[in-house]
Amino acid sequence: MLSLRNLQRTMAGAILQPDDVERLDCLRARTATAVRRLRVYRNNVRATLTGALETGYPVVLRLLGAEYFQALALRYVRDCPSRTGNLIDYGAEFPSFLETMTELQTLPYLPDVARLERSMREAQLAAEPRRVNLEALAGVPRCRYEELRFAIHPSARLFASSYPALRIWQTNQPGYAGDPQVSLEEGGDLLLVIRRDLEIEIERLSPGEFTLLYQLEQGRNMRYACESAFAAEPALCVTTALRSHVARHTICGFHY
Amino acid sequence: MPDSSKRSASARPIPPASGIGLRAEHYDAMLARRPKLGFIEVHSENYFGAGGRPRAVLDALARDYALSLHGVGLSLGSTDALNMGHLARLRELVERYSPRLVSEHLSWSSVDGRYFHDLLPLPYTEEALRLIAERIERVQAYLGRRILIENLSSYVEYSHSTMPEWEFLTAVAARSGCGILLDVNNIYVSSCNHGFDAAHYLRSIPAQCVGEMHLAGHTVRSTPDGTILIDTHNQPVSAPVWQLFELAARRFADVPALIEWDTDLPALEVLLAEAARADRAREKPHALAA
Repeated sequence: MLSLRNLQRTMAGAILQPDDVERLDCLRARTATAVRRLRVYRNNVRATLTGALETGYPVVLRLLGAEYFQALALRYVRDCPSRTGNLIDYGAEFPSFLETMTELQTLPYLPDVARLERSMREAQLAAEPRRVNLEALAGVPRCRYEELRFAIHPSARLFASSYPALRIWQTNQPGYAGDPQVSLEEGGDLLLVIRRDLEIEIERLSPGEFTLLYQLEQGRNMRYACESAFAAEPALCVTTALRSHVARHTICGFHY
Repeated sequence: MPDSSKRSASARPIPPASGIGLRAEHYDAMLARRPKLGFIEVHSENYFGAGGRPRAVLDALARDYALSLHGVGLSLGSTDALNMGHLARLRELVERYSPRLVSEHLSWSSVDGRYFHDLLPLPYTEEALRLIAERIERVQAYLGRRILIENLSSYVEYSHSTMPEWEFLTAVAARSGCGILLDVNNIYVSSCNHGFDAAHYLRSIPAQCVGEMHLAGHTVRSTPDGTILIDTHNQPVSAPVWQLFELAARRFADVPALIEWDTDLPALEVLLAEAARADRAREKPHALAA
């Protein structure tokens, strides 16, 4: 008789590859019946995990087509098992997995589109920010400005792509009625993905604004963040950028 | 050994009116209409994210409805270490919402750290009984409350099981002090797949242990060696399951029942009609007795 541990390991293998089962003494049915029954589990597991990828990556699904996406998803399910009991966590490595697929080299932007979709998904469920009175910023003495550090909204994801990822995403939304043509010559994107009032917003940032928010998110002080931002965009107006992101809750706390 | 009188009193914190499983597809309709229901039940894991719409909706609905948290990912029967990260997220939810009921499954879904996201059956042996009862006790101690454990639909049986499922489930409840969430559809599905008497299963479960019942639809599939029933939650409760439920409603007269529907979701009205039907099925025995 198998120990429970060995039974679970045996069953795990049998569920993943029921057609490789030659005999399974731990099951009550004869082998042909057992294999048919094990296929029910295999199909459930596959449908649940590939379904989670379809839900998480609808634009990748649309770009690849259902059949091809399904084949790729099955390979991902085989190579990248779920490591938590929460299905929503599944698929975080899918963008990097797409990057390793040599057959997808004709769609070089695909991993970034997947990353954008993953960022949106994370932003949807991220924590609410703590409520802080940002008007108190007015009371910060000018001589301390350089030491200020800002808290960024927990849902905010800064995302840089060498491809027009946002336009690709937009043109592949259900009901999109604009120009469906996207040229890769349009250049890359610097994006902020954020949840505001329960809705996901994606906005394009200038290089300076992106760098500023990136450094603040990394916990750098204003002096460092501004120096980096000016290096990326000498004409950046920091005051305008900060005011705008405070007003729209990208920035939601400070300390010095 | 837990005090059984206390246990039966705390087993039924929800009045015996029917509820529905709340799914994201029905958020808007539920918020707009607030239909009369005994309670709502959610999959705990869908609210593990710290913020956003799911939590906002649950915050709003939990003010108006009795809430049940139903877990699908704790893998209680696994021989891996208990997933404390998962449990910590569950405790945070329990503390936030103070649900009337918290439940999980009589199953395992992971081994060697690999999760299958499906409910796999245990062999019904003394070894498995010891393992799952001890883990349920730890979960209850960690959460500071009793949980309910649900019987599952299964497609295979193990040759070395030494007792039937109803005996195993009853023993799990007796040893750990947990309650039982009796899924009437799962009893029916497994009874057809393995050839046991579903009514006998019901009669073998001690009534004072049962804190909730589940009802759902299943799919019948033909195979070369007979039909197999699959627990798909994608259609109305079937006629034989309603019949079995009438028996269950007589035996577990004051236990609330829940309609589960997880894929190919119909309009909210369809679920509400199923819940109303469960309420009527429950009234039947009383009408006969009067």
